[in-house]
Amino acid sequence: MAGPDPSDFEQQVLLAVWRLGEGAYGTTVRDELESHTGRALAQGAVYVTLVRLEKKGLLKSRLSDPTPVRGGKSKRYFHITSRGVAGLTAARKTMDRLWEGLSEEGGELT
Amino acid sequence: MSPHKPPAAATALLRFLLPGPVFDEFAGDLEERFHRVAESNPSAARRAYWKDVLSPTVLRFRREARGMPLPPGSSPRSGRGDGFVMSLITDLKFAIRMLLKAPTFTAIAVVSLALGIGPNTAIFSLVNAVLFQDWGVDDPEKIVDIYTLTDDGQYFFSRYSVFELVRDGAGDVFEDVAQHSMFTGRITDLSGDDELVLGEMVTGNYFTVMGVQARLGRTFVPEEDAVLNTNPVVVISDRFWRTRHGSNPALVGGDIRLNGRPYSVIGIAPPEFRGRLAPGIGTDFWVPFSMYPHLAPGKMGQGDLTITGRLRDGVAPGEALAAVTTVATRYNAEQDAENPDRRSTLALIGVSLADVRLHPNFDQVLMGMAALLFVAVGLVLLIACVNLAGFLLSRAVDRRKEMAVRVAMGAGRGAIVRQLAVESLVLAGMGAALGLVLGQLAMRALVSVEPPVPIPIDLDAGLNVRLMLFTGGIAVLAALFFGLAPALEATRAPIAATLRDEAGSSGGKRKVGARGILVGAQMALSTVLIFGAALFLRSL
Repeated sequence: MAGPDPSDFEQQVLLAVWRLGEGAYGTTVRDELESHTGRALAQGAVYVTLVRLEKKGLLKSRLSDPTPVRGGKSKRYFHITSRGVAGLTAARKTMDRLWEGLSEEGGELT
Repeated sequence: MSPHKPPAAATALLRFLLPGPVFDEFAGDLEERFHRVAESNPSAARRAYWKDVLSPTVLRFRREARGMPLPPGSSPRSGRGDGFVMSLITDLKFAIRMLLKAPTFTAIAVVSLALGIGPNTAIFSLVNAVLFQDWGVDDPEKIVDIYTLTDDGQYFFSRYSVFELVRDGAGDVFEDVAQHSMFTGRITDLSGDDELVLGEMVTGNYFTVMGVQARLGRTFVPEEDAVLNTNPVVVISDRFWRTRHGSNPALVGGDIRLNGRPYSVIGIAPPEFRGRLAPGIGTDFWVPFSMYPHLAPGKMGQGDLTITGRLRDGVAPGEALAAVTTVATRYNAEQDAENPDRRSTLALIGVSLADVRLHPNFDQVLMGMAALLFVAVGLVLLIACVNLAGFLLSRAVDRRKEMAVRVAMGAGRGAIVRQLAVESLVLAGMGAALGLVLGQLAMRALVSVEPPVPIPIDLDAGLNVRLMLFTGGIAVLAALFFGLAPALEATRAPIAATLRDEAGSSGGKRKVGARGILVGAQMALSTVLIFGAALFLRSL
C-alpha cells in the first residue's frame, strides 16, 4: 500500500466498516464504534473520516435508493477495499514491531 | 419509528450548512438515530440532535465531502448553497476588516446603537419577568383561579365559606381545589434578630393542585391541615433558603421561629416556583391554613383568599366557568329561600392561570403601560438608527470610489448591497451585544433597589432565550433600517464619473438631501420623545 498508515481513528472506522459487512452506513458505523470504544462520537466526526478514507481508496461507497423510514432520504453504504485491508494490516504490523520485546505492564520482556 | 419529530430549526440549519445530496445522507442518519432515542427519551433525543448539528465537525464534513459521488437523479448544488455560504463568509470577513480599519467610526456606531438597544432589552427583561413569567407550576393551562365578582365587575378575593362552596360543589370539573392567601410573619434567626417576611397560608393540597414538588424534603400532606393549630410545619422558598441559610440542607428537619413559635421545616420549594402572590414578588414560606389561629387569628373571616382548582383531564376552562357559576346560582337560590330580603348576591368567575399575567383586574392596564414603555424605548432606538444612518451615509459618499472600482471589476449591484448589508448586520450585532450588557446592568440596578416596604422582589430578569431572540430581532431590524438607504446610495453613483473624481456636485446634492431628511427625522423624533417624557413625568 502506498502512503502512510491510517491514523488510530481511521483504523477504528475501517475495522467497524469491515465488521459490519453489508450493513455499514453512517449510523451503524457510529453505533459500532461507540459500543466498542465506550466513547460518544459526533456524527460529523464519523462522516469526515468515512469520506477521507474513501478519498484515500481504503473504502468504497454506494448510495441506496431513498427509504421512506428516513423521510425519503438515501443511505450511503460503505465497504472496505483491498487497499483498506492492506492498510489495516500494515498498521497492525507496525504496531506489532513496536510492541516487540515489551510487556503490557511496562518494561522489557525478559 | 417514534411519533416525535427532530427539531425543525436544527434541520433547517443543517440544510443551510450542507449541500443538498450530502445533507440527505447526513440528515437521514441523524433522523434514524433521533427516532431510536426518542422512543425512550424524546428530550434527550432532541438535545443529541442539536449537539450533532452544532458540532464543528459538520463544517469539516462539508469541506471534506466536496467531490463525493452524488445519489442517482440529484444535481450538484455548488452553484447555489455552497457559493452563497462561501460568499457570505467572504462578506463577513471583509466587513470585519473594514470596520477595524475605521475604529473610531465603529466605536461611535456601536456605542450609539448600544445606547438605543440597551433600554429596549432592559424594558423587555422587565416586562418579560413581570407579565410573562412562568409560574413554575405543572400544566398552568389546567389551573383555574376563582374570584368573587364585585357589584362593579371587579375580580376580588373570596371568603373561606366561598372556598368551601366551590370545593364541595364543583368536584365534577376540578380534580382538587385549594386556597391560598398572603400574610406577613416574623422569622427570628439564631442571633435573635427579627425579620418581616412574606408568606402564603395554604390548604394541605396546595402543592398538589399546583403540581409542585419540593426540591428538598417534602411538601404538605392534607392531614397537616386537618386539625387547627396542631401542625407547626413550614415549607421554605428556594430564594430564602439560599440567601438566609446558605443553602444548608440541614435546615430541612430543623426548626425556625415564626411569630415566636418554633415551626418545623419540612421542605424547600423548587427554584422555579415562587408562590402565587404576584410575578416578581417571591413568597418566602408556606404554612398550612390550619395554623391561622396562631399566625393570623382573624384570617377565617377575611375575604382575602384566592381559590385555585386543577381541572380534571379533558375538562375545558369554559366548563369550569359554568360550574362555578352554577355553584353561585345554587347558593343564591338557597339564601333567597332563607332570607328573601337579603341585598347581596354571590357571583363567581374562573380564569385560567395561563391567561393571567399579574391579576385579571390590572392585566389590561399593565399591558397598556408596557406598550407605552416600548414606544418610548423604541423611539430612542429609532433616533439611534437615524443618527447612524446619517453617519453611514457620509461614509457611503466617502466610499463611493471603492464601490465604483468594485462595480468596474464586475461586482453586481446586488453583491455590493449585500456586502454593505453584512457590514450593517455586523455593526448591529456588536451594538446588540453591548446593548444586552447595558440592559442587564440596568436591570440589575433596578432589581437591587430596596423597595420602601419590605417586599421580597424576586424577578427572573436574567438572560434567557426569549431576551436573546428579542435582542437579535431588533438588531436585524435596526440594521435594515440604518443600513439600507446608505447601501443603495453607495451603488447609485455613476462609475466613470466617480472614478474620474467628477461626481462631486450631483452626488453632493443627493447627499445633502438624504442627510437633511435624516437630520429632520432625528429632530422630530427627539421632540416627540422629550414631550412624551415631560408628559409622563407630570402624570406621575
